Amino acid sequence: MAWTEYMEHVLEQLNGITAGTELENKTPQSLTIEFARDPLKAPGFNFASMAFNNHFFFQGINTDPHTQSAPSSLLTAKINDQFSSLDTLRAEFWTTAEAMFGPGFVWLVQVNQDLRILPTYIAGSPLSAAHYRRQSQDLNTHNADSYKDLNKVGQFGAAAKTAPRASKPLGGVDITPLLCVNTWEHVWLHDYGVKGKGEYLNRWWDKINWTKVEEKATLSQPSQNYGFERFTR
Amino acid sequence: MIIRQHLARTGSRALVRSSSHPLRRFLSAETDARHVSADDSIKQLHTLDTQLDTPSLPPASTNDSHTHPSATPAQLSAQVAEQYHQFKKQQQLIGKLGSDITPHYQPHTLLNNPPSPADVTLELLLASEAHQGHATSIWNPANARYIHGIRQGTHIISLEVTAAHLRRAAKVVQEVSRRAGMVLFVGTRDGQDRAVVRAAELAKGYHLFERWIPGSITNGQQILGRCKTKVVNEKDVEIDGFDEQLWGRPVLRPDLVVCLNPLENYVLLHECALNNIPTIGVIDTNADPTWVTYPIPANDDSLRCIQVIAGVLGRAGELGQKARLAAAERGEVVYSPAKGLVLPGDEDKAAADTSAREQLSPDEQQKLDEGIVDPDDLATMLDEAAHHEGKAKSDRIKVVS
Repeated sequence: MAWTEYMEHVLEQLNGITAGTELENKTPQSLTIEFARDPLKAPGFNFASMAFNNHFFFQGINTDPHTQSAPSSLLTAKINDQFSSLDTLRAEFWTTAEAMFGPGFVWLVQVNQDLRILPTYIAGSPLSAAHYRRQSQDLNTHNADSYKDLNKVGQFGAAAKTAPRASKPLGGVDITPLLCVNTWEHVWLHDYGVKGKGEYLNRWWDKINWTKVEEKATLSQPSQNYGFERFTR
Repeated sequence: MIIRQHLARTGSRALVRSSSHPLRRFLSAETDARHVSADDSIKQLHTLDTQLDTPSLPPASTNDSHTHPSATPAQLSAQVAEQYHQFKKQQQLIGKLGSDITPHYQPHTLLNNPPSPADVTLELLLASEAHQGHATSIWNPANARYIHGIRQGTHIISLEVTAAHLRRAAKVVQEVSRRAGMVLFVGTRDGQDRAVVRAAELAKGYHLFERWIPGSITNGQQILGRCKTKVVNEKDVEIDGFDEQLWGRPVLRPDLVVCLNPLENYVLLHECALNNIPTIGVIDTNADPTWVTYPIPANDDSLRCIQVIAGVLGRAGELGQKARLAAAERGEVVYSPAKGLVLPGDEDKAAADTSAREQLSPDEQQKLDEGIVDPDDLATMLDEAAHHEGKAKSDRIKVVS
């Protein structure tokens, strides 16, 4: 249902919005980028983004029941470098997804040579060109600008004398999405029930297709490690 | 009209669970019912804190090596190239996710990747509006054989006829290119320039999209006499050292002219006819088919149709050029080289030849120049050629000059 009915619904809506216009033959990815900046085009963005995200989620699942996918040594090394272990990554991922109250997606993305976890609430998109609608913070619980208030640097200097203007949103950092989990309720409600989000996330982790993750990542050979591990050997 | 369809083939399998795999517990998610709500809210606050303190994506730092201002131009361009390559790879992997886009008309593909003669179908011609003729009152009755019928007061060109004539023209272009002939693509209407240039690029020919200067063939020496010429070998590599020999040489003429709007280029086509240069032209219902050697009955007012036809002929020329260069790699020269040119190192041999020539009588000199051979010699040469084994050149008589 999360796949067949939902995609039909989303694409039907998207076709309805774009049919007859010059955008009718564009891919959902290009449409999310196209519609990201204009609030009036929010419905188009939502459907395009959901089509893209949902398909991304499903193509990242290992559908072969006979194999158990595992990350390759290069990817494991990268994960260990960034998250200290695969289990830690799993725990972080699980916690982030479990704690998101409401629909959304949680992504594993690559930024330059770093791997990061990125939550996108509701229909937010991780694509860097659609950063206006990344929606990586839960606006129900805090102000999107609040992190700036935490940073007290320069408050007594000359630069702080001018009234703080509403600054432009940050430019799009080049993000490569590698992996995502769909935490919309309709995905796991039928099989796991209302309380089964945690179980669903656990089971999903075991079905990740790590080959696809590695295809999307551009991993360079790990450089000489000058970290603390050197002293523990 | 479903423009996008979702991929149903993997749908049902995506939700298959592995029943044999036990659940793993990393965090004590299954807590007592009394503490559930508190734990959940604590977890949410915890995540909130982490998001507030360390936003998932901090702004790109200025210390980042990718954006360091003191990188040399070479480093910057290498970075840009790498980023572009990564972007292209990413697009290949995830660019099409979300839906299946039904095949549709993309105008740029006709110029960037034109169809080849094998791709010519009646559906393609119909979609390109090649069948649209003009009002019945302004037709040229000589085109009657190409017309399928009348609809809404306009003539409809028969697409089977169009396809057949287009294939024939493609064959002509291909063979002329294979024999290293010069093909000139002409299209002087608005919007035909890109198609003409692309066709000439593919066929390694020449293009013209501005007005044809009358007399460029009949009065070529005057109009084109100052144009630069060059000498190339069979592999299309330019050879230097021919400046003196080229100085007084007659002006070159095309071996084939492809005209995409014959109605506006009567002078060009007439000059070609006077000089025995074959022409191919797109003949609409109001055009005169006798102006060209190989008419292609089609709609010359539709840019899409012109792009298809020019693309097909360009691709045909490309095939011919490939065949010619492949033969050159094998050492076979399938055309007769330009007369009177001597390699810069062989002037002594040329001098010996000219002195030998001067010893002949004027009649014999004329025969030598024109390549006329005595019937007896010709008979022996034909016999030799027919009984010659192995070499592929035996189908071409080599004239001794």
